[in-house]
Amino acid sequence: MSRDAGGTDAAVTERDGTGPALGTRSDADPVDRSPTRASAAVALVAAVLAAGFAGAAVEFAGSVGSVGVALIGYGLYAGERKRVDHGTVALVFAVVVAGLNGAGPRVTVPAALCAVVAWDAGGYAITLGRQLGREADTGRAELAHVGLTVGVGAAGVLLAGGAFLAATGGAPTLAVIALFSGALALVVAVSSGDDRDG
Amino acid sequence: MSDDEDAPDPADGEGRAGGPGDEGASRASRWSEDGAGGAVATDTGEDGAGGAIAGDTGVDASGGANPTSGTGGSDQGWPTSWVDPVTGGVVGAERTLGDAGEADDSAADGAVLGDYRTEHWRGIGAIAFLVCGLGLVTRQPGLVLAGVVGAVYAGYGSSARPPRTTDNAGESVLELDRSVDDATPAPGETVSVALTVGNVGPGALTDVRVVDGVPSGLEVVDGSPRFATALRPGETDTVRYEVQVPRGDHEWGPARVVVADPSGGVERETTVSTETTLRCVPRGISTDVLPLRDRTTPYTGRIPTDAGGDGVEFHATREYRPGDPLRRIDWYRRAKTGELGTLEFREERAGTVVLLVDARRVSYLAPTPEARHAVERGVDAAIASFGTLLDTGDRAGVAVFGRGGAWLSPGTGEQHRARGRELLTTHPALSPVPPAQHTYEGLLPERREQLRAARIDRLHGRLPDDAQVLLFSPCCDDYAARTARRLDAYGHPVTVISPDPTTDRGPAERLARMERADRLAALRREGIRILDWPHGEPFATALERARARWSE
Repeated sequence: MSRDAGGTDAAVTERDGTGPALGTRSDADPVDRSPTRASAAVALVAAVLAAGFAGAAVEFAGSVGSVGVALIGYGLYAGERKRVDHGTVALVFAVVVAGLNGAGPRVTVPAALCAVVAWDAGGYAITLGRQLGREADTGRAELAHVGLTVGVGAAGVLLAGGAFLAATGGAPTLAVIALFSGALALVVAVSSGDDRDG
Repeated sequence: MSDDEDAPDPADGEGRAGGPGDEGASRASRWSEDGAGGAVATDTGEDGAGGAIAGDTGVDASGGANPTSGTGGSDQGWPTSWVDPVTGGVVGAERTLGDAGEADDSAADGAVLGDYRTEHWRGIGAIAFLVCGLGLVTRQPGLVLAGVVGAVYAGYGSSARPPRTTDNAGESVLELDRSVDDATPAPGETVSVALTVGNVGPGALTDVRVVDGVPSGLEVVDGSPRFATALRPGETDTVRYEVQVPRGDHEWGPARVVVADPSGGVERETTVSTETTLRCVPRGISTDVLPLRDRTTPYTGRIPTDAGGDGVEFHATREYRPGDPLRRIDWYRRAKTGELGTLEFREERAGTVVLLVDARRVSYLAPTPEARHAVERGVDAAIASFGTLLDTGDRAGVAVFGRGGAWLSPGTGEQHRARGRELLTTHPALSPVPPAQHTYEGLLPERREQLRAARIDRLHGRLPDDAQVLLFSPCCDDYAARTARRLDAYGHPVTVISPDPTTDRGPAERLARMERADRLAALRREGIRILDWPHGEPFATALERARARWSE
């Protein structure tokens, strides 16, 4: 084979990504790797709710929260886990702002719950999208995953709500104990989490 | 889950030292399907280290595009690792979930290929702690309770254990069933595949992700061979997709399965297999009689010769010799002159034809990425020609250039027909998927030239003296033309059947097209027959047109 001919082949196959070489098929990922739709939708709705709860109590918290919604929305659009993380941090910051300005547990607890659900569902959408692609049928797994996350959150809310009711029920010592035991549980959880972060 | 209670030991620092990262990289390259032309050929560098401080791999999909660069995002993110309690091996968090096509066939169903921490909940504990502490310091019960919600999730995330994919007896808890609506389709036909995954284990699996092992070469045209589902014990779920099937035998590989724990914190990878094979053999061979050049065997056939003897067409008369058949005696001459004469007819003899298929890497060319490439078209034409030649009593053989090559000596008979069909349909050298590299890649240019020349000479050595050659090649490089010229010079008449893969979309493509046209024109001038077969035209049509021209 002469060099010239070889050169032309290369031109045919390589200069243009859609050239007449079969080999070019492998160059393009035929699978759409963007986040799966159902979880992404759940994440966005949860983020809006979190921002809404915070914003309803404290206006500034609402604007911080909307930044979080925007970041999460962009992260889900572009499939960037990092943006979703940043957006979640903004949502948590909104909850903190609301809490510092005197918003009660009726605002902060659902807002925190929604922020975590948004983070979880957003991350899950991105993971599934990367692994299986948007076109894959992932509905059942997404439903199970998000359902479990919300369920665990609801249990957490009941726990926190019970402690709060006990505290405001006129027994401040009990509330303090409950809070500190909660903090203790937290430390345990965090340290066991660190353990495995290796 | 429960038998993994003695939490995996952290292999601290290993991940950052790059060991497991490399492991992840090699996995990525091992599993990435080179699958040029493959159905769903890709891996994506999966950003395993998720969570708050994960690296941003964006839309990095380098894993599939090029196996050698399949490191995906292993230098990004935070590769972490642990010692897998089951396999004992250190596995990286970086990983891919590509296609199962080349997954390790030897792995038993349900065997753990790796456990991966996804870091899905990473950072939640710290945030919960911060919020809670802030609430305590500022005496805001709302913040404390919000922190408690976070702590609950931190506990949920840290409770993650790899889900079990085998039961106590070591049997896979996942069962796969694959059915196709037509196990023997014709080339190019669409086959509907139903993949059913069942949970036969004792526990629920909330997150089962499956990538079916679609054979490379098959193109998924509808639906997706990838899906995720949740399965209660005894439950099954089915996904359907459609594949377009090229010629050949296609066997499904094991499906790659990832089972994640409910929180999504740990993923366990495994494979489950079930045998499915599609056999795609061209049917309805429908070529017209192939025009052959006048090089014949001593056997009676259909090529008119200049020798007189038995036949149909009048050739000459000669003196009667004792023993001539009575029916060939020229009775008119006898009546007129009283002498005995014998009619001679043009003898028709059989040809010996070797079908030479050019399946070198450079010949895998198509006008668009989706179109059928020149090798595929050439093989189809060769299969049709092979059948036709045997039908017309000619002796046909097969030779292949590319990969290891292939050779079938010319012959006749039903057994030979079956052998030839088998070779042309399923021989690996004629695979619809292009070879990963050129035949003589990596050798010095001089050596390569030698080997290329030797390949022609070797073929010449094998060809029977009276053989003619049908060369199926797109002729997009000079070697094909050289082969035709050489064989013709050696005394084997060559007919080139050239599927045209060129387009005129861009300047480079136009140049390639012109070069090819020049090459064919030069061959024509030298007396080699050319059948230029445009894309999108049936072979029979192109043949008919060419025959009209050849017979002029």
